[in-house]
Amino acid sequence: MIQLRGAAQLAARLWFHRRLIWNLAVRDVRSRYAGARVGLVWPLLNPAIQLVSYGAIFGYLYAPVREAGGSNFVASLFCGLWPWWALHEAVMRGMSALVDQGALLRRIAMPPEICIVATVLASYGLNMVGLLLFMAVFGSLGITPAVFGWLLVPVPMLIGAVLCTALALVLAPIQLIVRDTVHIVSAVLTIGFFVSPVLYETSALGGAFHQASLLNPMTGLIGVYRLVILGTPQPAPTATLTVLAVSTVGLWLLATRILGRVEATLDEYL
Amino acid sequence: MRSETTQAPIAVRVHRAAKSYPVRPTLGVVRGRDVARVPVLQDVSFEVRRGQAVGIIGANGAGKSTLLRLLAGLSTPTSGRIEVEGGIGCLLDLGSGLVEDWTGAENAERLRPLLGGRPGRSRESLERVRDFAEIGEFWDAPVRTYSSGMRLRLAYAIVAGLRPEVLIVDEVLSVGDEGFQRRCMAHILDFVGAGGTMILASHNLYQVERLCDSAVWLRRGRMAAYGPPRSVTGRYRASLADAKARPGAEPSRCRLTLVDPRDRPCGSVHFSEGVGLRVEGGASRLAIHLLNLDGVPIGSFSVDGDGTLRLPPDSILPGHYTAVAEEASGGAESVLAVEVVGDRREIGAVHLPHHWVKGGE
Repeated sequence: MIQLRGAAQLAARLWFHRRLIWNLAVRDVRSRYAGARVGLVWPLLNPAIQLVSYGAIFGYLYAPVREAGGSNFVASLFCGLWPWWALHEAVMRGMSALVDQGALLRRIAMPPEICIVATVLASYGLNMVGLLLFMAVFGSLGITPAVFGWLLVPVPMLIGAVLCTALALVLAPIQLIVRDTVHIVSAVLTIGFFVSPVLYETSALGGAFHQASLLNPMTGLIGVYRLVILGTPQPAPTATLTVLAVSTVGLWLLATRILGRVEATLDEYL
Repeated sequence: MRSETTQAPIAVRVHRAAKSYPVRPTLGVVRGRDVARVPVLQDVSFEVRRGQAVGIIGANGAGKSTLLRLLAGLSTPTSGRIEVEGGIGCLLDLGSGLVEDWTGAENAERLRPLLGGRPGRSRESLERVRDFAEIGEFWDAPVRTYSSGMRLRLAYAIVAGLRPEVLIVDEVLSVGDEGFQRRCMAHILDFVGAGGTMILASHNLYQVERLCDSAVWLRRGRMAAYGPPRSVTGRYRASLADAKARPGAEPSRCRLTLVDPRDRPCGSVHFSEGVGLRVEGGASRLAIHLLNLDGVPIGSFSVDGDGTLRLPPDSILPGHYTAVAEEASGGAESVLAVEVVGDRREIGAVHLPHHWVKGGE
């Protein structure tokens, strides 16, 4: 009960500071791309290149997949790759926020979670803009179901936002104290990519890989994206959606607990 | 000083504040365990009424900056309470919060809400920041092209433009060029004069005496004295003299005493009497230096053995000085706080005999 109240209070505190979070997120984006001529194109480029290269290789060049249907493969890849990239970026940058923004935090009084959430928002938000842009591209090619997808896509976007915010909130204080954390997380995410249904349906792998992918919250989230954008039915909906819900709520509670413990002492490590 | 403000409401209240830091980074805190900590600040309590200024003095490492960070809300006390009423403007680490790739204007505009400034009225307040910063056409250039002086001016102007109710200042007046210091000083005087509350950490005791209504002396993280600025700075000076007179375990052999014209030890001498410095237990050859509070030498004198150094009456102007006796061998050193009292209007440290020739020749 106390845990739940704490989690609600954390959410309320973030809402209370929404203006500051927005300002910080804007500052983050602007300072990252300050001086670049086409600034905002760059964050879109990386996932786009991944999409094009994976799509070209597996959708058109690699015979076994090509025979199963190339253009559908690219759209399906997009639904997995883009949310995965958004989460990867948001978690990696969010968990380093306290370290990276040390100079700012030493000088401006604010709760540390504000800074973490702002960094997640900046990175995740940019990727979501990219996702919508590419949805429009696919839509104009007649690949995605138009209205239905557009109306419902905010649902998985929001779930993903909560998931990666919670992950960043859990990891950022740990990263501030033990700087190896980011490297460990990077390795875990690399493995995570292959137990997520991005390049292939993990059910096709069978055995231990399949079991592991069922415990991966991204399996559920990517399933929702494919359901909403492409109308592909969610594989093993009960199991994957339960894992997604439980891990999101669980991580949020864990974040509340850790922040409650370290909030007052984090400045000592800046 | 400004005694009419003694009944003003309390703006800053520090109650038994303490701060300690972990000995080494450990994940124990994340798991909710107690970790080994070293105290930096212990049992600090004082109050500042609205419109008053308090000075924080003490040696490096005494906890001044930690205390300021606690007051600014940049750090949380390990125990005790700190309450500050009203918006805080914080002049710590000037210049470090600027974003290198943004222009001066962008920094001023975008950092403002982060520093707690109210949105709106921003055009007018931006103009104010630009006028105060006086960085000319650099206002629209990226901060990375600035000189360090321009950075300081911009950072100071941004904080000043916030119009805070409580101003926290850390040694800001000792950085930057003379013109900048002068303008900061004028701004701070205006600010306090207009009813602002200020907390100033400084090594410049004269500044604390002149600007503050009370002073806190921190020694090794504890309050060594708290009260009217002159009595606190006086005790601090005395302790400095004591500490320097006993370097390490080896007691100094020479001793300095301030004496009046009849050779009696005294706390201060009058301008018209002249400064007398008695040397006891000194080596055969000694140098005595007289310094002002900024450490600038006013005069040096070679003496030998025991005796009394007499400076002529009407020579050293009223004010605070430091006398240092140094053995030629480079060994022991003795330091003494010297106060000259009197009512003189001249500026500087020394009255120079002179005459005025009327008309041109």
